[in-house]
Amino acid sequence: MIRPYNVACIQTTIRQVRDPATRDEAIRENLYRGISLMEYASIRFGQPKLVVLPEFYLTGADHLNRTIEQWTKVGVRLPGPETDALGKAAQQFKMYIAGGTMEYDPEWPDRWFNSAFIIGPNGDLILRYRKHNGADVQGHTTYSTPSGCHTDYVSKYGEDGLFPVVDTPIGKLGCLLCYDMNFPEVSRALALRGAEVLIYPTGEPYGPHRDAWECSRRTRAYENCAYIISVNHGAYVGPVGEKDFADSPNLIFQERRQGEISPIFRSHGHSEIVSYEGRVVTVVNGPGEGIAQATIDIGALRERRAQVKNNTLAQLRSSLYAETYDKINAFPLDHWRSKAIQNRREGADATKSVIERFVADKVYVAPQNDSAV
Amino acid sequence: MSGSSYVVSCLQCEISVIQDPADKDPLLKKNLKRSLELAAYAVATEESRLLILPEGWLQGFVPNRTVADWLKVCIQIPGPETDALGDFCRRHNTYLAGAAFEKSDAWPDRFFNTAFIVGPSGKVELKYRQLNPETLNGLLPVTSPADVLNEYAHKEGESPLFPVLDTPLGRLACMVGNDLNFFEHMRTLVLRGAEVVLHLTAETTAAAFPVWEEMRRARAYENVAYFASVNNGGCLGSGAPRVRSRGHSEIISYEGKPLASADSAGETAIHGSFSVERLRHRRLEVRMNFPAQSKIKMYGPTYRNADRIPNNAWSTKPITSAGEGPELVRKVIEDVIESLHGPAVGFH
Repeated sequence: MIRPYNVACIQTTIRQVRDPATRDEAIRENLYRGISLMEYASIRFGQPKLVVLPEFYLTGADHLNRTIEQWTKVGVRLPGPETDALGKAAQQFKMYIAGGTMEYDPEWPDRWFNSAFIIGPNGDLILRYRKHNGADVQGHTTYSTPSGCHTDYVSKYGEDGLFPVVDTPIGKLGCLLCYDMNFPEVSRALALRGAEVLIYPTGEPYGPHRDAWECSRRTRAYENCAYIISVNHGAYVGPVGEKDFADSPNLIFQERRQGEISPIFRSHGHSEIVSYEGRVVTVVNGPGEGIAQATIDIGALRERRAQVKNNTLAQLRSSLYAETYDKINAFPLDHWRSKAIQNRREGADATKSVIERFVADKVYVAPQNDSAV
Repeated sequence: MSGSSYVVSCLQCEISVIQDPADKDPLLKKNLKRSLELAAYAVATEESRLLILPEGWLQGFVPNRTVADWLKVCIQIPGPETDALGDFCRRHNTYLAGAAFEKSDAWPDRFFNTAFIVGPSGKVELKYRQLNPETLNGLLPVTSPADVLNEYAHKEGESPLFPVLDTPLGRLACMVGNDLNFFEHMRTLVLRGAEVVLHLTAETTAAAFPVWEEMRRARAYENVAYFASVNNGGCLGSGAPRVRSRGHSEIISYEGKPLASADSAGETAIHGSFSVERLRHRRLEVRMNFPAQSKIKMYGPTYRNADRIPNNAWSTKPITSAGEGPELVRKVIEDVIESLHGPAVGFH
């Protein structure tokens, strides 16, 4: 029996890391700010058992065209000194700490990942998830995803390594990141492996899709009977002592290169906790730094999952959809198996070639006029 | 034709429920007549080209009814009722979609919850038998084609489980009620070419249903597809409350934004505009092109190993009472879900 417990969404400010030379200083600042806010949450709202930080919490992420080598130098090891520092906080506050970071793993020397992590109250890293959907299909940066080298990834970690779920005294926890939310299969794959709390570090900018993303969060919670802990960036501040910017010809003024090119409030905030019934339990009402805290009840969730009516996880015709999914070929696996993604354009090019195949295969229909309507 | 936009109408009609099978003929006639009046209204006022009727539109819903009694109220598709719709479509050059409880000579002792689209040809041009009926919730003893999957392929030949109809109004497909809960359904339709998905539904005023509105929008958005959801306006002459339905039929853009919504239950019609040409342009854009970006092959093993509802669950013996559905779900919960509390796999 798991008693209800507090969860805190820590919508923090992130110091952007760009220059490998000033990396440590910026990450230290991000660690300091996050841990300060954890301490504040503990004092102000009562001790949370789980705190969640945004996507790219430790490192930030800009969308400038950097080489893979630069990013791999910035990437954080999981586990590594940064998670050790968070581990000390986890021990001190007796809680689980989750968040996202740019990651580098020497076992995948030519790649960097966009990863989520969970650290347990004993200070150990207990889960590492690598984002499945994002830059590799959109074309705005160069991180690798497991599907890019699917065969090697699965042979190294197994099928469950794609969708890790960790069983803890506060329930079964899984992670997904930002753009993953647009692909309902990710949440489903975690829930089918038992995940009860979907930890969702995100970085959602303002844009026309915002309402749809909010609908998606509630939908994922409801259709998987799982809590969603969604945590967005609070604010972005520029890198410290930036020097190396020669590859950004778009920046006209030399002095601007010292700062951050994206808006400080580039993300719309609205970190929230959604119940397994698809209802918003608490929300930060805007961008900027903020903490939203609420109680979640895993015991009640387990009771709900044991009921027959509208139990989508039990009523799922998994065999039927296994067959239908087997017959569909959309975005390819192993696209970057022999050579890791080098240039951010490669992701957009890959999607473009799927679209062209879709038109040829009559999955999509070409419009009659070339010009936009 | 597909270069211009067209009007789609959801006909949120009231249903006179066939409580006693003996009343079948007059009530079918009454429901059909009223539906055609509403269709004529939509055509006359909005020049609608695509008209949609709700789930259960001809017969209504009666709990605890045996399969034998359900078969007495079922219709055949095609049959006289869809012929009447066909006459309308031919005269007005429209498409008309609906869903009804269907019997078929090929499947004695079973019935289906079947959606159909009738076209300007006057014929049933698409027929979809609901894959996720309320059977598992114990509300109706409907057979899903998945419950007889092997035999289905054998008997129905190439008849697809996920049909998509190519028309001048775009590629149309149907889903019914509870299918909405399973995103896999609409994903499959879209990756088989669907551009406009019609959701024929019957949603009561119940705790879960506010979330269904968000789900509809999520389905449209995550698939870059137009979506129209049609609920009934009320159910007359049954033991259920007259305003059993919550109404709120809705027409949604491929961006997941509502274009038109019914604000309540009760008989009404709502209208929106679809431009398939614009959708086709949108689907050529790289960003947020979720169907093309879906790594579908990555999830196959997840589904194969999930061991939830199996195919062919009622292949040897037809389902006879609604209680058999929950029994199967209970078994899945005991065998699979409650055993999920196994070893941690979080860190490799």
